[in-house]
Amino acid sequence: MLYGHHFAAIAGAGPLVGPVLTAQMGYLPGTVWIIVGVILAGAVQDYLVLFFSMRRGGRSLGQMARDELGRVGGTAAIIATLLIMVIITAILALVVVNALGESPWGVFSVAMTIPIALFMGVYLRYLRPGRIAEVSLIGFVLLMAAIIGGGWIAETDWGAAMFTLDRTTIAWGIIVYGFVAAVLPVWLLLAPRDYLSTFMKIGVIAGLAVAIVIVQPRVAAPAFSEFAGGQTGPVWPGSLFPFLFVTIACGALSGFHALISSGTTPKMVEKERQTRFIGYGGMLMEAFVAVMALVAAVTLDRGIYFAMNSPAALTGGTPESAATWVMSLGLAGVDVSAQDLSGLAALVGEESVVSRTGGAPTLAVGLSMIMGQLIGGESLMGFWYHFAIMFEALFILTAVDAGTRVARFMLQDSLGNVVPRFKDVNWRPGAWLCTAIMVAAWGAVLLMGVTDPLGGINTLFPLFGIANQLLASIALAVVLAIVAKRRHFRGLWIVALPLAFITVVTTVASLYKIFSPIPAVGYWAQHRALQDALAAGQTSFGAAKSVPAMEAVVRNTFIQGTLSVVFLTLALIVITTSVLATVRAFRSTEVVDHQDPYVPSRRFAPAGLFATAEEKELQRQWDALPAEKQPVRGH
Amino acid sequence: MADPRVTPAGPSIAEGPAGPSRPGVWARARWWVRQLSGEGKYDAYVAHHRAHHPERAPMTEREFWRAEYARQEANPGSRCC
Repeated sequence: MLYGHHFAAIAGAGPLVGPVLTAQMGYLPGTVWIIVGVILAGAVQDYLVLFFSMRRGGRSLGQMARDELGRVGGTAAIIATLLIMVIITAILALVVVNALGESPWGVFSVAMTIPIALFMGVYLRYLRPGRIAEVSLIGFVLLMAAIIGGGWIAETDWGAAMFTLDRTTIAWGIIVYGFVAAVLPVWLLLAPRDYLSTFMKIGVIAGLAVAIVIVQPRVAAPAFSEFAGGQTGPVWPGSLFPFLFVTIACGALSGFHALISSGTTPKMVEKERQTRFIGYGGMLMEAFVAVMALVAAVTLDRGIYFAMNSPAALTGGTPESAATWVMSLGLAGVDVSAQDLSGLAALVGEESVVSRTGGAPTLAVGLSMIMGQLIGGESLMGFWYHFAIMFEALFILTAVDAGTRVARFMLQDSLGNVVPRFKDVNWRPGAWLCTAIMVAAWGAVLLMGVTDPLGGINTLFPLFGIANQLLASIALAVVLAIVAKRRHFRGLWIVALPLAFITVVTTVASLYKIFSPIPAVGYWAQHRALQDALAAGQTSFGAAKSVPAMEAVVRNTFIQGTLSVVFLTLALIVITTSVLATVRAFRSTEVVDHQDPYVPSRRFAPAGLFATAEEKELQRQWDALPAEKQPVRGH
Repeated sequence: MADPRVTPAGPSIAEGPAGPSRPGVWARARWWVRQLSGEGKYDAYVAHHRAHHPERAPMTEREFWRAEYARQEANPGSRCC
């Protein structure tokens, strides 16, 4: 059961978005990285962080960093974590905004999840407390009704007028929503929506797995595409190394999991041996989800894939201009017409599918094609498409307000060191102020992404990936120091290998982003190019077609470039302190171990998901004992 | 200051019946659904309470869930990407 809890906490929209974006390079690079990365890096990190945190009474990653690396390394780790949470929340919100922009059907059905969740919350608190399965079922039925109803409403004139919103309006909506949701009590909105999204997740993943096996969709993308070798793929810029490894973060290796693996989950572990199954196995499951997302993306027609995922600055935004642009790329075997694009839009019930960046709509189209072949054909494609959008939006909104809440607590804790009053989490003004600060931080990044003339996802996603992978290297660095201090030098390579790899990847990626002379890749190169153009009195430059747009690019690239520098500096501080701690451990002969004293288990439980024959036999022997000799469960 | 390593003995700690108390298909299915949805937390709490504090009456389901959400309010679990 804890496996389910841990999986629910780590798997969200992340493993779905990254693989879709990497389909630009063909199916092979992404698949190989997901499989190799998860086995050698991602699952290792999740398992070891979980294990060591458990041996330390469930201390969080930040606390462990302070214990093992000292004050400087620990502080750098905490600041990096806070900044990374802001970026991650903003990018996730950006994915939702891009999926819902100019989509009355999507806006209506996703907005309906709020009253549905409120109803479920009230039902659980006042009408029938504790009936979670029952209320989840009611909520699920209402959710399906909202999706079907959204289709009808989007076809009426008043519905289309009311729910067709531009992306900036939706972004403001999500910002206001994020603040309100984070200060409302958990039982009213967060907890019931969590039940809904768990229901949806299990359903979608199982359904898609079954559908893929039965339908056996044909892979349309080549193993390596034309963009695998170069720097200038339209979906995201940059070469395969290092950017593939930061674009697919969740699914292969994700630093964010270290936050979950430390703190919450270890406090619930029954016995040590189970951590291998929960930590390592949970991550393998996530890789499975990522591979399915990749399958959904590479089975799409490549012309449609590029028309959907390239920024409007390239496609021009209309089916005609997009079709012309895709054909001008000269991709082998690609033949897409404006009719194909508008036909697809009509099938899934959208105005247009051109430049719906962010990965979610692409996945939704892929999923609706696969599910449509299984159930309902073309007539149900609109339903399946919005079902998939709803599924992703639910997760992301949960991640947004849970992320805001966690970040608020972290900020309160840090501010509490200066003004002790802030440590009191029940002090309303403090809680509201800290929530407002965190929402303002990610809201600003979100608005920057939404209004970015270059297409926000394309420029911001690498930053998200780098931030996430830097967190992974921080986590692995902490683990390295722990293992070295225990003087387990023989097994040190298990941690050192992924740490070295991910450090090289993120450092090279950051350096590219900071120093690359190619404007599409380097933030500062773009910044200077636009500045020079403005100084020369030009009124249009590349994708930025006006002076305000050019000024926006100058501003955005300045912020993105500065963030890259800050992330890299923080991560290098943590890694350096960790290597120093490791070297010190080599030199000394003393075994330093901050773990809690060993507590003999007083309970018996199987180590894996299913009890082995020996364990069953043992359980029978335990059961046969008189009551006073039975193993004790719990503390 | 309290030792941060001491885990608050919150009701969410996974404990309680390791499996359905009564055999039979219906009981087994009911147990799975309750565990999967999270309803089983209350069963676990009651089992724990009976075993360790038999002298006091356990909280009612309504009280238990109020306490549980209050605990979640104070300890937000983070979510991943």
